[in-house]
Amino acid sequence: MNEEYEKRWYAGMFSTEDWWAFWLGMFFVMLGIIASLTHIDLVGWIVKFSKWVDISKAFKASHSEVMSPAVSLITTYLILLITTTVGAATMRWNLRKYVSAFTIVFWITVISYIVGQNAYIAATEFDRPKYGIDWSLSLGGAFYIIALVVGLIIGNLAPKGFREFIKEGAKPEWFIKVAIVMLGAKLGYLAIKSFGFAMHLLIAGASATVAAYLLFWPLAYTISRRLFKLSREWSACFASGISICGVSAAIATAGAIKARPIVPVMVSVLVVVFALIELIVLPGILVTFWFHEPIAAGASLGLTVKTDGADAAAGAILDELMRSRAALELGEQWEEGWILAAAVNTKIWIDMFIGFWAFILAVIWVYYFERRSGEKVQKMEIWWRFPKFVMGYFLAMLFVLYIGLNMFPDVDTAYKSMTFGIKPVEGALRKLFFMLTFTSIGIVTDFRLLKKEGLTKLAVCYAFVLIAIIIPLGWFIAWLYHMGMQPVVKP
Amino acid sequence: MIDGEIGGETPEEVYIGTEPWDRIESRMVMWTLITGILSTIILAIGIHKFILRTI
Repeated sequence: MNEEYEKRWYAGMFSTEDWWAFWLGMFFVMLGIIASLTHIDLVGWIVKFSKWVDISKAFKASHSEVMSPAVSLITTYLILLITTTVGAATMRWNLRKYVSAFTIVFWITVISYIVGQNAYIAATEFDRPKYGIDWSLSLGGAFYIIALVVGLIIGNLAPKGFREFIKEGAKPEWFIKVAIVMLGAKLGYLAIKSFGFAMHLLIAGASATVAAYLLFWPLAYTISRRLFKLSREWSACFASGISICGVSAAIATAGAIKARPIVPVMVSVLVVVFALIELIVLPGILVTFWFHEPIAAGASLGLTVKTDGADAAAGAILDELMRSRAALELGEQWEEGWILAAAVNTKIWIDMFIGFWAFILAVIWVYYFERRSGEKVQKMEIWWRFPKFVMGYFLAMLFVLYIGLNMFPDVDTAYKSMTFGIKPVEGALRKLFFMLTFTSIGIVTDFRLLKKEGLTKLAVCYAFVLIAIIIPLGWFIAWLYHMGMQPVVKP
Repeated sequence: MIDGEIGGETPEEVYIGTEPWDRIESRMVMWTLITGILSTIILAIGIHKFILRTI
C-alpha cells in the first residue's frame, strides 16, 4: 500500500521540503503578480533593510506608507512564521520546537542584517556623502558573513542541547529553495527590460552545465578509483556528489545504484563542509582576480560550489563585492542580481540534471553491473528525482515575463507595475530568505564531523578532486560560455 | 572503519558476459569523457556562432 502510494506522480507533494519550497515561493510570487495587476497592495508589508547611520532608518516597510517600520518587521516575522509552520505541520515536524527555534533563528538573522548594513561597514565611497560619513569599509555583503559567523558560533560552540534544539528551525536547503523560486521572478522581472541578455544567460548556463558535468563525473570517478582506490559504490556516489549537486546527487546516485545508506551520508558531510569553505574563500578570490569577467565568475560558482544554499550565498556575496568594486573603480552602477542570477542559473540546470543522471546510472547498474534480470527502471524516476523548486523557478520567471510582456501597453508601464508588486518579493523578501539561509548554514555545519574516524581518506580525495579538477575546470567552462558578458548598467 | 571499507576490494570483481568488469567500467568512463569533450566544443561553437548573434 505504502509502496504503491510512493509510486504515484504526486507523491510527496505536501510532505517534502522540496515541494514546500515550491508552494511557499509560488505563493509569495503570486501575491506579487496579483498586486502588480490589480494595484491592491498585498506585498507592502514586507520589511526592507537598508544601509544606515541612524538606526531608526535601518529598516522599513517595502511600501512605507502602508505601515511603520516596527509593525512591518513584526508582520513579516508573523507571516513567515505562519506560512513556514503550515509547511512544517504537513511535513510532520515537531511544531513546538520548530516555532520556537525558527523564532530565534529569525531574530538572530534580523540583528545580523541590521549590524551588517551599518553604513560604516557597508557603504561604498560613492554612498558616503549620502550618509554624511567620511570613511567606510565598503564591505557590501558583510551582513551575509555576519549571519554565517553567528550561525557557526552557535552550531559549533553552543551547549549541545541548544545546538540540537535550534537546528529544528534552521533549514538552509528549504529557505534557499524558497529564495530561488523568488529569484526566478527576479529573472523574469529583469528580462522584461533585458530579454536577450536573460535568454543568453539561460542558454549559456545550460550548455556550461552539460559540458561541466560530462567532464567532472568521469574525471572524479577515475581519480577516486585509480588514485585513491575507492570501491565502485563509493566512487559513484563521490563522483556525483562532487560533480553535480552535492547532497541530492549523492543520495540520488546511492538510490540508483542501491548503495548502503552510510555511503551518501559520508559524502554529504564532506559536500556541506567543503561548500562552506568555498563560500568563504571563492567570492574574495573571484572579485580580486576575475573582476573583468563578472558574469563568468558568477556562473563558475554554480559549477564549483556543491550545495544550493552555499552557491546562492556565494553568488549573493560576489554580486555585492563586484558591484561595490565596479562603483568604486569604474564609476558604474551595475544592476543588482545579474551575477547572482548567473551563479544560481548554472546550479539550477545541474539540479535538473540529477534526475536524468540518476536514471541513467540506475539503468547501467541494474542491467550491467548487478545483472538483475527482469527488473525495470521506471521512467517516472526522472519526475520523482526532478527538483520541484526548479519547476517553481522557471514557472515564476515565465509568469512574470509573460505578464510583463503581454498585459501592459508598453515595457515602461509593465516595468513600473511589476516594480510595485514583484520588487518587494524578489528583492526584500528574497534577501531575507537568503539571510535566514546564511544563519542556518552556520548552525547546521558541525566541523566536529570531520574528525569522524575514517573520513580522512575521503576528505583528502574530495579536496584533491575539488582543487585539481572541479574548480579550475569549472572556471574554464564558465569562461568559455560566458566570456565578455557584463551585467546591465543602471542608467 | 570507513577507511578500510572505502579502500577495500569490491566484491563484484567478476566477469559480465565474456568481459571483465574493469573493461566495461573503463569504457563507460572513457565514452562519458569523450562525449564531454565533444559536447564542450560543439556547444561552445554553437553559443558563440549562433546564439550570441541571434539574441
